Amino acid sequence: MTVIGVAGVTCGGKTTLSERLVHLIKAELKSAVVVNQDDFFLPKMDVARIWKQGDPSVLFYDYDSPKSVDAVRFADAVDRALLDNDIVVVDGNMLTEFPCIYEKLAKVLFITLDKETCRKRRVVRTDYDPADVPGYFDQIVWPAYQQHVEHAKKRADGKCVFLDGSKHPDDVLLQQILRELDRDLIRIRTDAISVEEATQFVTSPTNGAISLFIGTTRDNFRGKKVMQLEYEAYEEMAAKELHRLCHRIRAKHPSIDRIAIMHRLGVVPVTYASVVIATSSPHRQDAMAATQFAIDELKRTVPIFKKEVYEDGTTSWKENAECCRHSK
Amino acid sequence: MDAGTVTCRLLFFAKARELIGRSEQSVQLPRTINTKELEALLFGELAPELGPIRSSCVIAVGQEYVLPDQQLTLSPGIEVAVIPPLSGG
Repeated sequence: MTVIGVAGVTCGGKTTLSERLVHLIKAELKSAVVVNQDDFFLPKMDVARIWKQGDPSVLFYDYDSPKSVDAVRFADAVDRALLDNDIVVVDGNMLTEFPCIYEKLAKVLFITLDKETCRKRRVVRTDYDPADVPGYFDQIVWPAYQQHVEHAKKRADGKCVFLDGSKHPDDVLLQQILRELDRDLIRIRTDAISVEEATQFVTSPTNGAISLFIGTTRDNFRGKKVMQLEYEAYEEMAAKELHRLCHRIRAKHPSIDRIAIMHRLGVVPVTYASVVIATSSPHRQDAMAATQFAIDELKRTVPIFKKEVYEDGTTSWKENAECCRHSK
Repeated sequence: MDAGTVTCRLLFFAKARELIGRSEQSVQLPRTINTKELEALLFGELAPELGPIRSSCVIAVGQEYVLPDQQLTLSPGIEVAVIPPLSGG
């Protein structure tokens, strides 16, 4: 449930960068969508008009003022997109000017350009409605951008990362930014699980509690001796369901900071861990409740399957008590 | 190919996979279909071997569980999965 802003100069490549981010996020099996500021401009008659300097016969519509955007509708759209996605990318030249949008952003990639590069790119654009009128760039567009960039640079919250729009977006940098934002670790693998790695992932200085659950292979079932468990999964869907689960954990327990969920596949011998869940929060109650909720819901909704292998060579596919058919 | 059908990937897991002896097959399914019709097709014509566990299985389409009365639109190559009782954890 993270919102990333792509803000800054006109013709700086915001759309391309937003699409790149969505591509990189989806490559990690997470869902992402772009919400574009330009879809929330007010009707033309409600946009402020400004006389052209030196020529009062020309009126400019000021689409570079935050007042030209219906910020309430824009913010609502971001909230709605968050319900269905792990990450929402918000694209718009004035994101840093709307308090109701800015407060949602975990990070802002703010694109900058020099004036002449920007002008050259803008004159060849034909997709503006209304189309640029001569003088609009110098009187409206560029001064507005200078204000926005000045405001953004004054902010001391560390949210804004300034990127040079004359260069191609660097995937390595974008991946690093995404990783830092990433508060969930989801892993479904055949390797043995490292409990240490899970607890380290959820450790952070602002949390006072880590709650850890380790599910291990037990050596008996109704008097039969269990030799090992064999797990398989609908891996891609299981990863998606686990991301959705993280989403639901945070909706229920908003103070949860980080979540690590690791599930082992293949053969898991007696006493070894098949599942590890770690969550962290400032105070213990939330982490403890979240970890309990997480394991209950994992058993109920995530397409992972286990077979018990008994001493006498027989096997049995198991069924979680929590798993109710068609209850999704 | 019938214009009203699409080629889908039918996936089987766990006990369903063992009963049917394969993990995947390619099938032609109607482009629009509801859950009940899809279940009737799957457990009837396409994979009658799964009859004994039919009542304990759910279907996922495009990696989402389907609701009992959902109207589905299938796209070419979409994954239609037979999911027996879950037992993760």
